[in-house]
Order: sequence, then structure tokens, then C-alpha cells
Amino acid sequence: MASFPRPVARLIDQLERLPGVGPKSAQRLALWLLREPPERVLALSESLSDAVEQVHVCPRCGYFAEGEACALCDDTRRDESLVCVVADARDLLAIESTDGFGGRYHVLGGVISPADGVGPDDLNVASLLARVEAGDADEVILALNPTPEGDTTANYLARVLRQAAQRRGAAVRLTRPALGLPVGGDLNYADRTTIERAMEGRREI
Amino acid sequence: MPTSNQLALCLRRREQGESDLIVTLLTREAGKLAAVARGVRKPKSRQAPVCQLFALSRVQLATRGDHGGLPVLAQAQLEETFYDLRADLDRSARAAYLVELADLAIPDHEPQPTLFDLLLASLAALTTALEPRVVMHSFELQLLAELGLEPVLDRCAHCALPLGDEAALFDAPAGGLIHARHGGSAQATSVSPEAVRAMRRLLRPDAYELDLTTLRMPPMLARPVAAALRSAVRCFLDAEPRALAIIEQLADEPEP
Ligand SMILES: [Zn+2]
Ligand SMILES: [Zn+2]
Repeated sequence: MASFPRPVARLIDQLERLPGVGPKSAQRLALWLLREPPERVLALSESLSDAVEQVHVCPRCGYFAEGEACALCDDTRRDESLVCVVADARDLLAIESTDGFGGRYHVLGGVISPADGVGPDDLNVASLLARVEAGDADEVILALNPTPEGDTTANYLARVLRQAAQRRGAAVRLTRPALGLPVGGDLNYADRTTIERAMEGRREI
Repeated sequence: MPTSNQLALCLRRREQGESDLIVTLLTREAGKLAAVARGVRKPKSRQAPVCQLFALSRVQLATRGDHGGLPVLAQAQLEETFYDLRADLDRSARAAYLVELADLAIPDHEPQPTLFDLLLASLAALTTALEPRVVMHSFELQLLAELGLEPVLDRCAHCALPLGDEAALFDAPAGGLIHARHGGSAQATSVSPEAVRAMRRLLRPDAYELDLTTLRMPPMLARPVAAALRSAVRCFLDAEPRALAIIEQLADEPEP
């Protein structure tokens, strides 16, 4: 029985590892890539290696950084005392698109999801606790989706953040964005006005 | 044609395309099945809450030719979210484990009304239980029993004689408890007489008239039971549930 040449099979294997791509889609993508003009496909491969080589995770906040820290952490006009915790970079950009928030961010890199084998140790939780323990933040906004995973993560973080604040002998205000986000909704898909209202109307937890 | 209303628990979800989900549902009457939920990742989707983990709903499925033959979630009415689980990571991790175990153990399209009821009752019990691990271990044992994989707890699985007061091992490859003097496999774990008694009771909570939500299980007792049942799940179901790693990760954390 004939099969794909090794390099093609390897490409299909790699594509199949992408989220939402099954074996059939991987084959379709691979065949499409191989029909494209080579220079266009090589441009894709180049942008891939550039992104991987030139961008790293900011050790302070978990967002993408090109220098030592990210542009948001380097920006001295931002309010140090207000830290907004988000699941991933897309949520950060969704909030940034509103211009309504002038504080700092902390990107967890996901939410706690035991069903997917993701626990607190798999996320940027330790660096968040370190920030609060260092006394940087007076208020931490837990801008996580109102889903089982988002709610569980927010409640877990609230508990360990309170403990972290206690260790430095201070209190930290813990809030969540309020109205607007539908139950089970995704921050990422919400419109600007909804996000703006949710951030303004945040309530303490 | 849409099927009649049925009660369904969301066990798992997987993103498909830009805004769809493929959800794995456990229904009471039609067993475990996968369905496509269209547009649920868009804002203001009314079906979004139905497609969350632990969501219990009345659903109507429509069979269509596309989507590889998967039925489509036509209508859904949310009944219960087990919302209180979200307050505590240990509880929600154990709930995720029960759901994962049910998903791994129950084959597609095989009605399992008893297991369905057991899973719902266990999720409800987890929201209020004094000790969530009691609910979890009872579920593990009852699930295995319901699938015909009940570990031998009332005699020696090796020589079939009563265990008596002798030291015992839980040896999953042997089928359950054995006299320690037989040796046992590499997976065998030692269990005290108290742990043996606890497992017997948790296997048949109704027969012992146990209220799992108020039962206490000190760590001394819980540790060998957890180890024994972990090996039983691994051996009998050939499964390595992901949520278990998180439960163990949390157990290593110092108590607040
Ligand atoms: Zn940064
Ligand atoms: Zn024996």
C-alpha cells in the first residue's frame, strides 16, 4: 500500500497537533501547503520561527515580551497598584481594546481545568502570588470567564491571594468584572461596551 | 427529526471550527453520545451554559447528514449547573474526575440509567460533603461494580478463603484483596483492616445506610483506600484519568 513520502507524513503529524485540527484536516492543510508557491509557504515557516525565537513570555506578567520585560510592564504610566488577571493574551487584548483600563496585567496562560489535567502548578500562579506578596497590588481584578473553569480558578486565586497578602501583613482588594458577560460567556467574544461595563461594575469577591 | 426531550449531562467539550463545539453528553435513556452544538462560542449564545462541564439539561437532538453523522443540539433547557462546586477547587477537581471516569468507562450508545443516576447523585453530594473524598471513593467502587468489575473485598481473591485477621494487600491484577502472605504483584498496596471495612461500606452505601455527605474519613484511612482504588481504576478500566493528577497535586499543598 502506498503512503505519503516521509516529509509529508511528518508535516501532517505536526499539523495534527494544532488545536481543533483532526487527522483529515491535517491532511487537507498539508496538501494545500504543498500546492502553494514555495516562497509563500517558506514565509509562513519564517514567521513561525521568528515568533518562536524573538518572542518570549514576560517573567513578570506572563504576556509576550520581545525585550526583557513586556511593553506593558515597561510602561511607567500604568497604575502599579491595579492588576488585572486574565486567562490568556487574547483576553488581555480584548480588555486593552476598550482603553478603559490603565493598570497592569497578569496572564495565567489558561485556567485551572482538572478535566484537561491543568492545575495551579501548570499556570503562572506563583509569579502572581510573588507580585502580591511583594506589595505591588492593592487591587487584583480576576477577569476570568463565568464558566465552571473560570469561576473555579477565580475562587482558588482569591483564596491563595488573600493568604499571600496576609503573609506581607496587608489586605488586597479582590474583584471580578460584573454585569454584561453572559453565564458561560467568553470575554474574548464580547463587544467593547460589554467589557467596559463589566470592568467598571466589578464587584468584590 | 428531533428526538424527544431527554436529560443529559455534559461530560466533555471540544472546540470545532470558529464557533461550534462537539459535546460529549451522558443521557439517561440513550447512553453516552457526541453532539454538535452550533454557534455556542459566540456571545449571547443561549446554548452556551448547556455546553459547560457538569451542566445538566433537557436536550433535543436532531439527526443530520453532515458533521460526520453527529446529531445536532437542537434545543436545550438548563436544569442544573452544580454551581457550588466552583467554590472549591478540591471539590470541582473530584467532580471532574467522576465525570472523566464515567466518560472513560461507559461505551457509546449504551443506556446506563443506574450509572447516570449515580453520577448525578455523586455530583450533588460533592457540593455539600464534609469530606469530598468519601463521595469520590464510593463512586469509584459503585461504578466498577455496576460495570461488572467489582473488586473482591469479602474474601481472598487468591485462595478464596476468608481474610480473617491476617494482613491483607489490595492487588488489582489478582482481582482485589489477598492475604499478604501470597506476595502479590508489583501494584499491590497494603490495606489495614479498617481500610478494608471502609471499602466494603463505600461499595454499598445504601446497604449500610450511609450518608456520604456527613461521613468522615481520616487521612490515615483515606490514603490506602485512595491508593487501592487508583490501582483498581488503572487495572480494570485501563485508564489514567487526568483529573487524578490534579487531585494529588492539591493534596500535596499545605492546608490553609
Ligand atoms: Zn510583562
Ligand atoms: Zn489467600
